[in-house]
Amino acid sequence: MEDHTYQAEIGRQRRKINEAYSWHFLAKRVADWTNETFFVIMDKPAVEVFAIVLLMQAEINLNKTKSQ
Amino acid sequence: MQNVENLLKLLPGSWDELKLKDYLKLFKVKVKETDDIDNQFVDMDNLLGTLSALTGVPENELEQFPLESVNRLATKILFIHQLPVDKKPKTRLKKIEELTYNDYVFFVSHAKDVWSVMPAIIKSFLKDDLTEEQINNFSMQEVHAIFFTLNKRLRKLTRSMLRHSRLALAKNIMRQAWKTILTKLKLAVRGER
Repeated sequence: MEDHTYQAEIGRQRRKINEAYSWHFLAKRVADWTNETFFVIMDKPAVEVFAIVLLMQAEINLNKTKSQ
Repeated sequence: MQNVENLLKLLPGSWDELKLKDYLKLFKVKVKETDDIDNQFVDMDNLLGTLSALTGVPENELEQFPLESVNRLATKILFIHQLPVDKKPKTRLKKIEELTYNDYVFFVSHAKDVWSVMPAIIKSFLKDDLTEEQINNFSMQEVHAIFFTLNKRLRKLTRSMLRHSRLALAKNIMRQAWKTILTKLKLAVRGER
């Protein structure tokens, strides 16, 4: 049976938003990381954007190991 | 009522003659699954649906045609049972590295139903700025050639990236091995002293 609680409904909405806009959220994070605007990132070559995402992930992992 | 000769002129005889906009019409045809008993009737229904979509003549009008005429029409579109030939496209394509993040997001967000936005997807892969109408008039042979070439380029890029990653990994392993050897040597030298 489907869960109709408030929490479950919020979860469903969040998943829907994530499904539709996750790629745009990623572009916004890349824009923040590179000090560029969202639209500049959207027009950059995809390969370049993913290379930056890899760098961002590497930095996150590095920070994790530093804090341990 | 339409003449069979006129309908034959309207029908494409090869993938080169079948335009993208006409191919997209075929998705609206309600194809029925065949079973053992009604096989021939269902096949005929599917055929009439296909012919109707390609010629614009309603199905009930096509049903009035003699069987021999319908057979002639069916023979002309027999090429559909074979895939188009793999060859280079006539239009210039962007390099994989030139595709923008925007193009990628558009493609991924429509991955479940690519055919409904096919002209826009093709437009994002082209080097020249063509209108959607011009792309709709592409032959299906050209559409196939575009995706065949893109697939080939993507595979080439993946192979070269893999080769590069393997090389970097091998270098890293060698570096680590050298470090271990050097540390052991240093320890051994200190131990002797």
